[in-house]
Amino acid sequence: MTHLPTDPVDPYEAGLAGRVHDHTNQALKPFDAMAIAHAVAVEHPRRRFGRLFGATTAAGRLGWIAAVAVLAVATIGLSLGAGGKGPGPVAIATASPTAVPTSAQIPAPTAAPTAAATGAQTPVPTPIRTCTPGDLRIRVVSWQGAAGQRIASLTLTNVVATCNFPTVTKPQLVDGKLSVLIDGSRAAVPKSLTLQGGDSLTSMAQAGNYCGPNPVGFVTVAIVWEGGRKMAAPVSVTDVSGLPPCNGAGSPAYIEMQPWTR
Amino acid sequence: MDGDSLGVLVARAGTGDELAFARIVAAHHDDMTRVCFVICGDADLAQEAVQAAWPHAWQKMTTIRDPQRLRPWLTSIAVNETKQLIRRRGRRMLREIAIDTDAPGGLPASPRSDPASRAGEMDLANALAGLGESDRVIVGLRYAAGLTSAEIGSIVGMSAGGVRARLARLLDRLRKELDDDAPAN
Repeated sequence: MTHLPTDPVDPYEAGLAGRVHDHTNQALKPFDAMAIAHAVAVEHPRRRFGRLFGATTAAGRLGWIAAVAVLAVATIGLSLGAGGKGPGPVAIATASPTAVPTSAQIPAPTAAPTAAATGAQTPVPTPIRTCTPGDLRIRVVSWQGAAGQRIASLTLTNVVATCNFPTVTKPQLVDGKLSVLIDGSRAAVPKSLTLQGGDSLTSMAQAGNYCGPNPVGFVTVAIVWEGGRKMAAPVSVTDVSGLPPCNGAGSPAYIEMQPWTR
Repeated sequence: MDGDSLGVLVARAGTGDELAFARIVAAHHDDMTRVCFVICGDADLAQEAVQAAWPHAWQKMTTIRDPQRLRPWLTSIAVNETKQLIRRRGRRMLREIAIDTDAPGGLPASPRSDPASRAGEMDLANALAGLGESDRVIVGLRYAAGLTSAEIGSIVGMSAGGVRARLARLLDRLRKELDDDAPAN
C-alpha cells in the first residue's frame, strides 16, 4: 500500500510516491514477524535498570535522581565533616532520611549472627524473578479432537536462567495473523514453579465452539501471565486443526487450560 | 489500526508482550525497509538496517509516550541504522543495474516489468543515487513512509516549513531528472 502524505506539497507527489513504492518493492523479502520479535526478546533483554529502578514516570525518575543527589551530597558532607570542616552537609543529608536510608538504618539480618561475628559476609538471598517471554520456548506438540473440542498438548521450556513461572496461566486461541480468536479467562491466584534453565513443563488447553471468522495461516495457543504473553509455536505454519467446530453461535466460545506440571 | 488499539499494542509491547511486538513488526517492517532502501539503494543493506533497528525499538519501547508517534519513531531508528551501516561499510550509492532481469542481481520481476517500466525504475534509482544522503532521507521518509512535514522535521531536525521548502526543491529536481511532464500547478 502506497502511503500518501496527509499534507501535500505538490500534486506531483502522488505519482512520485507510487514510483518510489514500485521501485522499493525489490528490497522487500518475506519475513516472520513472530520470529523477529522472539529473537529480539531473547537476544536483547531490556535493561531493567535503564528505567531507573523501574520508574516509568518523569516524577519517578526525578525522585530517584533527587535521592541519588542527596546521597552524593551527604557522602561529600560526611567526608568533609570527618575532616573537621563543619556539620553543614550532614544537615542536608538528614533532610530526607526516608529516601536514602544509610547503612545504620538498615536492620541487621537476624538469621546470621555468627557469620557477622566471624566477619564473614552475610549472603543476601536474591529473589527469583518471574519468567519473561524471552526466557521461554512454548510449542503445541499436537492437537486432538474430542466431543466438539480441540485439545492442545503444550510444552514449555526455560531456555535462559532460573525464573518463576505460574502454574496457572490464561490461554488464548490465536491465528497466524496474531489475532485472538478465543480469549480465555484469567487465573485467580496462581502458584508458581521455579524453573532452572532447561527445565520443561507440560499442560493441555482445550477450546470449543468457535463461530468466528476463518483464521489466517495457522491456529495455535498464546499463553498470558503477569510476566508477559507468548505465542506457542504451532504444529506447522499451515496447521488449523486446533480450530474447534461451531456448535452453536448462541453459546460463547471458550478456551481453558490445565495447570502447568513438570 | 485506531489510536486506542495502537496505544494498547504499544503499552503491551512495552511490558514485554512478544505477541504485541510481533504485530508492530508485522505492521512496520516493510515500510521501514522501503525507507532504508531509498537511502542506501541496496536491498541487503536495507534489510540489515531494519533487522538492526528492531532490538533498539524493543529496548526503548517503554519510552514512547504518544503511540501515534510510533511510525515516525520506528522509521527514525531504521534511518539511523542505515546511515551507520553506510558509514561503516563505505558503500557507494551509485551502482550498476543489470538490464537483463533474469540475471542474478538484476531488477526482480515486478507487476510492471515491461522494458519501459524497468527503464523508469532505473531512472528513479539513478535520480535517487544522485541526491545527497540527507535528501534521500527526506524522500524516503516522505514517499516510502508517507510521513508529514512535521514528522519528518522532528526526525531530521528541521521545521515543518523547512521540510516543505526542501521537498519543493527536491520535487522540481526529480521531476526534471525523471522527465516527468506533470504540471506543478
